[in-house]
Parts: sequence; C-alpha cells; structure tokens
Amino acid sequence: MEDILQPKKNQFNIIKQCREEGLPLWECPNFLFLFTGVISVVSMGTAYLLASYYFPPEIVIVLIGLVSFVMVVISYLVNQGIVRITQSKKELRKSNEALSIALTEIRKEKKMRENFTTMLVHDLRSPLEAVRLIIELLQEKKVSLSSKDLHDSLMSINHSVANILNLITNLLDITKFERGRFLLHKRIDDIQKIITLQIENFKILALSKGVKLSSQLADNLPSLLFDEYALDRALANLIVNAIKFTPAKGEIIVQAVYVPKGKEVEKIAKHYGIKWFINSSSPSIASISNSVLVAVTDNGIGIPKDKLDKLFLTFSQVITAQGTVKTGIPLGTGLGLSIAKAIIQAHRGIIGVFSQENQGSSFYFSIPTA
Amino acid sequence: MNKKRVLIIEDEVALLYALQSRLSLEGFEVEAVSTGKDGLKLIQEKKFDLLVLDIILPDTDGFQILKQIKENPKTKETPCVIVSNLAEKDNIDRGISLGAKDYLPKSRYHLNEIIDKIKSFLE
Repeated sequence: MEDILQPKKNQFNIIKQCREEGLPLWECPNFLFLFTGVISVVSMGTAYLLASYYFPPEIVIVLIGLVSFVMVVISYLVNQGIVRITQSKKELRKSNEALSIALTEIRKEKKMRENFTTMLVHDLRSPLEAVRLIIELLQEKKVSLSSKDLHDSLMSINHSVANILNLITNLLDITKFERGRFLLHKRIDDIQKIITLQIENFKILALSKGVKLSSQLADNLPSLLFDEYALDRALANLIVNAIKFTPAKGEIIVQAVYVPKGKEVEKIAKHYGIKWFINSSSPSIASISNSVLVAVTDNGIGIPKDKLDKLFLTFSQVITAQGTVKTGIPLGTGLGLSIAKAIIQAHRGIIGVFSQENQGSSFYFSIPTA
Repeated sequence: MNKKRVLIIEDEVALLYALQSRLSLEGFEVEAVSTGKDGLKLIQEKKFDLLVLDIILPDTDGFQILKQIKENPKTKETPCVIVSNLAEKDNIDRGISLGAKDYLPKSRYHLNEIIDKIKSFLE
C-alpha cells in the first residue's frame, strides 16, 4: 500500500515529477527554479549587451525593472505550487489514514466471520460425529443389541439429527433475513395448533435427553394474526434451547394464556401457576394487554445475571460475540434467540426472559390480538 | 473384584450414549452427566477411576472443570481424558498442560479406538 500511495520521485525528470504531484508545468517548483535561473542568466546577459551599446542608464533601469517583474511573477507561481503540494500531501495522508482504519476494520470483520464459520462448522460437526460413533456402535459385531438398546441408539441419533436440522433451518432463515427475503404471510389462526405441533416435534428430542416436555393452554385463547412458519420457528428455537440447557430429569412446560388488559399478567400467572411472572415488577410485562402470552419454562441450569442482557442480540452481534470467544455457549443458542426476537418484533409482540442460575429459565413472548 | 468407575461429562446425547453403553459392556461402572456443574458435584461425592471430559458444555468449559479438579486435593489424583471436537493444537496443549492424561479429538478416532484409549488408563 505504501508504495502505491507514495511513489518514488524521479529527481531529474521534471515533467514526470510535475505529473506525479498533479501540477501543471508552470506551477511546478523545480521547473520554475530552473526557469528562474535561465531568465536571470539571459536577462543579465542582455542587460550587459544592451548596456555596452546603449549607454543611457534609463534603459538599464527599465530592464532591471522588467526582470524584477518576471521574478515576482515566478515567485508567485512557485508559492502557488508549494501550497498545492502541501495540500495534496495533507489530503494524501488523511486518505491514507482513513484507508488503513478501513483496512483494520475489514481485517477484524474477516477474522470474526472466520471465527463464526469455525464455530458454525463445529456446531454442525459435533452432533454428526456423535451419530457416526453411534453407527459404529450399532455395526459392532461383538455387541448384541437388545431392542431397548436399539431404541435408545435411534433416539440418540434422532436427537443429534434434530439439532443439526434446527441449526441449518436457522442459518437459512438468517440468510433470508439479511437479504430482506423473510416475508411474513400473516393469517388469522389459532396459536394452540403451533404449540401442540412443536411439542409433538420436540418430544423425542427432549425424551432422548431424559427431559419431560409438556404444555398447558388456557381455554380462552383468541385467534391471532400471525405467520405460521415464523411463529413455528420462534417457538421451536425457544424449545430447543430449553432442552439444551436442561439436564436429564428436568422438565419443560410451554404455557399459553390470554391477557385481556394491562397489569393483569400477575393475576393470570397466579391462576395458572406461572411462577416467574408473579411479583415480576417488570414494566414490559405490565404493559402486555389484549395479547396471548406464551412462556417456555424449564428447571435447567439457568442463566447467570451478567449474561441475561446479552441474550437477545441481533445477527451481527451474534457473529461478533461468537467471533470473539473460543469456547462457551454453543452458537446455535445465539442464532436461535436472535431469530425469535426478530420474528416476535415483526408481530408487534414483546420477547423476554426470567432466569436464575440453578433454578431454570422462562423465555416468553406475547402476540397482540389482531 | 470391584468394578472400575468412570464418570463422563458430555452434553452431546448421542455421544454420551455411545460411550456409556460401550464402556458398560466392557464391564465398567459408568455415570454420565451433561453439565459441568453436575459433573463437579458428582466427583466431590464419589470416587472415580477415570473422568472422560468434553470441552464445550452448556454451563462452562471442560478446561475450567479440569482446573478445578486438579486444584482440589480430594480430586486431583483422578485421571482425566478429554474427548472433544476441538482439535486445534493450542486447545490440545492447554488440556495437557492442565493435567489431562490424553486429549482425543473426536474426528480423528473411531469409537473402538476411543474405548481402547480409555481402557488403557483403567488398567
């Protein structure tokens, strides 16, 4: 870069040098100094010759006056040239600095993208490696498998495959989001359908980890205006995360209630036993009204306080966050929550989480009635 | 003779299952957990002859667990083997320098080889 922006100067080729500085010949200092020299020598010679033929001093004075005038014009031009060179040097330095800052940014971004890809490949490879090892286990001749063993092996494979598929679907969705092609086709429909379907979808994923997954739906849920695929994905991601962070023997429950008016969440939560919403004192919870509230609650490992506000990131923040850490929370989590957030916000709903370490978490969202 | 006891800390259900069922077949008593917290709790409570540890876990990373185990006089003698997807040299070096007996990147081994390695530390 240095070479292109600051080319080496050829001290002897004045025309080339002027072109490099971006100046016309008559403003180029080196040319003008040379020119001054020539003028001085010629004018002195002429003055000498004229003076030897025409003695009157007036002529010599006029000549000296003329030469001085030419010199002043030349000095002015030299000054102009120097000012312009200094300016262009300054601009050059400025654009040089801007370029190197941009270059550093690009390098940083590239590094983050690379780390992101590494994490991604890792997240995809990890369940695949596990599937490979299970297949090896099934292929071993000396192991005679009971039907229970076979069932358990297949459950494990199912678990890994479900995780891979969820991650791939998230990646496709994100690509659509980033290109502005994640279009919502909202229709009036029942949210119960979505919840029941997702519970059915992920029952095996939960079961293969020894986690119980169930639902509790209020009888008075109104129909809502929503995009079926989008809401499927939002809920699926909350459930997959809950399974991921709930150890064996844990429980996950998906609850849906109707909140007719503001500040009524607590009353309704008490009625249905949704513990995190009781005494929550959160203004965003109190603001939920004329909406259906869906909560995915687990009794898993919970989330440390300092990480709670860093959960719902945008895609680019996920890339930055994942790009700067080597190990930690698996990538799928960050992507899933950022997708869920984008979807719920596109439905004018709110999304949030209650959590306590070692107690569990409750991820919730609301969808207003049409 | 008492059965040798192995603790596996691994969050990938399928791998946990493969290791657990294969090691049980080899005649070891295997306990398996999927979080670092449960693993640390269990290793304080019971004595194990070997710990099989994953690096990326939902609540912490395997390096932290290894460090805590090696710092605790009660557990520091328990041999640990890391079985992880992270195959970079700096991760392997880190695991070994923290006191792991071996570091097995999953992608480079067949199930049998992993089991053989684990067995070699229990003999």
